[in-house]
Amino acid sequence: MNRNWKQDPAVWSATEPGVIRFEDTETQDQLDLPWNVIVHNDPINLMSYVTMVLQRIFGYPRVKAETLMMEVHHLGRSVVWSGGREHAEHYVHQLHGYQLLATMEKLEL
Amino acid sequence: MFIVEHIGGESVGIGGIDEWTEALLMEIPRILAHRNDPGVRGRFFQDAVPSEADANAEFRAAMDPELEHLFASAEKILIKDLARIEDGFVAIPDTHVRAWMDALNQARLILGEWYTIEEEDLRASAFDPGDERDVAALKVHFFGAMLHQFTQL
Repeated sequence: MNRNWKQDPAVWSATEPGVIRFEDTETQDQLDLPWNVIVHNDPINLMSYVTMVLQRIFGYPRVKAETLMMEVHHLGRSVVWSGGREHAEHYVHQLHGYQLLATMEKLEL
Repeated sequence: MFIVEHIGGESVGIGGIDEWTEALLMEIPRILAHRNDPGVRGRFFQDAVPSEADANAEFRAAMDPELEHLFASAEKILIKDLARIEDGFVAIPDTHVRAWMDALNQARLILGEWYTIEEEDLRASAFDPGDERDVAALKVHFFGAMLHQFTQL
């Protein structure tokens, strides 16, 4: 990332003449990390049902919903959405309402 | 064979319900009564954030009661609609479709948990009518066939 170290107060501050202290921005980065919503495979839920649920909850076109469903089926899990925490919680709750196995986890950088 | 289709007037018709089909549908409320049994309940009320115990507990405290209500409502709607089956047919409002899908799927999942049914069990071609597990797998298929028709509406 190209940042102008002399002009960007977010990344440095002078506490005494001749000393430049770099601010620790890790905490803010952690707060901003997106969350993944994950659907897990189970032996009972129908493929057509999982596809329909993904279309209804996320508004995905059928082809995308089917692709994600097949990923769940073959790989055991699929990240079906990524974004802010509150939205992720809402989506996981909706998926649970349709009785799909679903969790959320912070995106690993 | 039953048929699920739009019949106009914001209604869905479920037709072709023979005695055998009706008997299986009438079993659903008895199956759903086991939703909160130990070993079954965990399938319906899940952890959302396994990596964070506090956040997970907060999520469960807020969401589990809503799910309880959702699942119980679906069951009530289905029971009322089942009581209206006449001459192998029942018409339900569009607004009941979600409840039927929920109830059918819950029944499948409860049977799956009870009998630890796996994908290979559902692919098996051999069937022993005296084997409870085989009969349960057959019911999972039956409810799945009806659920599939609902997904295609």
